[in-house]
Amino acid sequence: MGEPLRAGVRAALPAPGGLASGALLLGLLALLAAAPAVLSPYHRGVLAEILVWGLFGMAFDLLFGYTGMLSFGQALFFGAGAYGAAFAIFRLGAGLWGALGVALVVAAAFALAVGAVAVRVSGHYFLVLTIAVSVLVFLVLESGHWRWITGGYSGRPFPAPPITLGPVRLPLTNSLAGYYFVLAAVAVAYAACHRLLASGVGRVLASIRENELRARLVGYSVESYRLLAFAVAGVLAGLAGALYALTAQYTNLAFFHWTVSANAVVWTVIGGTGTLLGPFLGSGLVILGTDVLSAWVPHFPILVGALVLGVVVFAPEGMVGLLARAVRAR
Amino acid sequence: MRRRGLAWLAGGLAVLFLATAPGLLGTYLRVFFTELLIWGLFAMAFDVLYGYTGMLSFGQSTFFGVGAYAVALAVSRAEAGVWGALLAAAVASVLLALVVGYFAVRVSGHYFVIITVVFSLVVFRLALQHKELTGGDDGLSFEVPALGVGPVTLSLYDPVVNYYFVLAVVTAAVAVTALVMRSPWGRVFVAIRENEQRARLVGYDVDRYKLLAFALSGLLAGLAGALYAVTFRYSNASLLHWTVSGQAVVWAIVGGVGTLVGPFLGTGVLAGITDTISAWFEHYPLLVGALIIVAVIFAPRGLLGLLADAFGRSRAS
Repeated sequence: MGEPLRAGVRAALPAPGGLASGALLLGLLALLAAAPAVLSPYHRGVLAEILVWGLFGMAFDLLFGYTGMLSFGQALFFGAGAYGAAFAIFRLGAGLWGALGVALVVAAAFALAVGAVAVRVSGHYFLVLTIAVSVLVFLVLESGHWRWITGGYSGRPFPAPPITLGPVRLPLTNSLAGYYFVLAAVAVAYAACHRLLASGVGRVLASIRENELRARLVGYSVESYRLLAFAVAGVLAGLAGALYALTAQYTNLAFFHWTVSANAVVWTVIGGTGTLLGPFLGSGLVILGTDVLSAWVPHFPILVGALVLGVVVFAPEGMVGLLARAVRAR
Repeated sequence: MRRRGLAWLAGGLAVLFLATAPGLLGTYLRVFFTELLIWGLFAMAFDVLYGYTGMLSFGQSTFFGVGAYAVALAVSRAEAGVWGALLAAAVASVLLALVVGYFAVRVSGHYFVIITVVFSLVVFRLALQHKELTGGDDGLSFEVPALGVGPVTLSLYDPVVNYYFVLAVVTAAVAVTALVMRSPWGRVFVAIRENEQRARLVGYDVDRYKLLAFALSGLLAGLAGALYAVTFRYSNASLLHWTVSGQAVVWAIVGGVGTLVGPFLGTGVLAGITDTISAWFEHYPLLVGALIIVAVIFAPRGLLGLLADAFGRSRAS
């Protein structure tokens, strides 16, 4: 039983590949590219973090909003990417690109292994299974038997390799170089995701979301497509994890914790389910809100919780939908 | 009809065993079975919502915790008796379930899950924040007042009395819930689970019935929480955490959802396994976790479903 996207959400979705949304995205990219000029190194870091978490949210939305699979286990792949990159650096002596490559391979392997089991069940049982697997993996890692990989609970700091582009070497620790590195990676991932969803594969994923049985009867191998979506979402989450670990230069078992998965749900729901941009808006709103308001509001997470409730009940199309509606009304 | 006969036989044996258990068991197992009845009731509360009405909630711990806190506060602050404390727990959990349900039943499927998780996290955070009321992480300990049954006064500090008290309340709760599920209300719950839109088109006020199921589930969960507090003379903010709900989900699914009895079976089997192997296998959660994954994939109707299949087959052959 896939879950049909609610009518309000569907109506608010921008047509994929529309000229207006293309121009909007390019404008946004230009804005993000120019932003460091007016930002302090601290705020560059905050913006880079928003981009990384937005990428993680987008990976979740590929599963939830586009394919109708609610997963509470995406932290698993975020953690796999982060630890894959760290492991490649301090065990294999890899450079930046090698570390990224290892991270993506590890995340893909994790996602394929979990997905091979998880996509066999759908609806509520899929959700229960992702929670069970992620709790299990967290328990295994926490037990300390994998210390040689994880370096214990708080992980270990490692030196960030320089960004090598042909003869050019840029230090990743430089706030400007780090920011553009993250921005480039996120932009490539976004474009790839957009391309995938605009293709025939994207249509099949949507048809599975709307009516799994019908998609099956039409002749599609629903399990294969669901596994594909799960693997792509896992790789993108792994990329987010690797970017986070590389720019922050540390890993922590908390990356694997379910609260990280829950964050993706919160950002996506607030920003706009079933849109690629929504998770970025959601992570931006929550992270900036936390940054600005947590000094005055002692229990900011409660406020975020209330916001999620309000959005789910009264504005299920999220920020993207509200913005689209405001533009249309003018 | 042989299958029905077997079911009655198994049920009769289970009741007989539970009624005589304190005489057969040592103190350790007596407490174990008391706890099992409480958690079984909690898993059944979840089953009313999920197995019967099709609403997957990860927020039932909210009502369990509120029931436990209602007892703790009624006893320690208002000097209520045991029955008064139970009543307070029932009222508090139903009222909160009506508030949460008011929001939650407006959405279905995945969004319902998200709302219940978020609500439970918000209540958990609030409980940690208001330490003066809840004791936060430390929780609240209290003295259990004497239990008055007609002219007789009993002490719940006696594990045997406590066992029978829990057994009586759980039996009453199961009986009432079974009656509700056999009534037209229960039929509408199942109709909503099978096809919400069709139930709506037939003319049922689906949202109201969903709210009703939510309130009933909240009441049962609150009652379980109240029994927990009375038994352990203690309440704690961690009871409100969603992972407590997660356990109910697991127990109900492993036992067999949509059956009322399944959740008790699942609780018993998983608690039994955990209790047995945790002595010699440090990483027993792994085994339990693997069992859940296997159950979800290969036996989605749980142990009760497997039993029904086994006996159904033997009848056919």
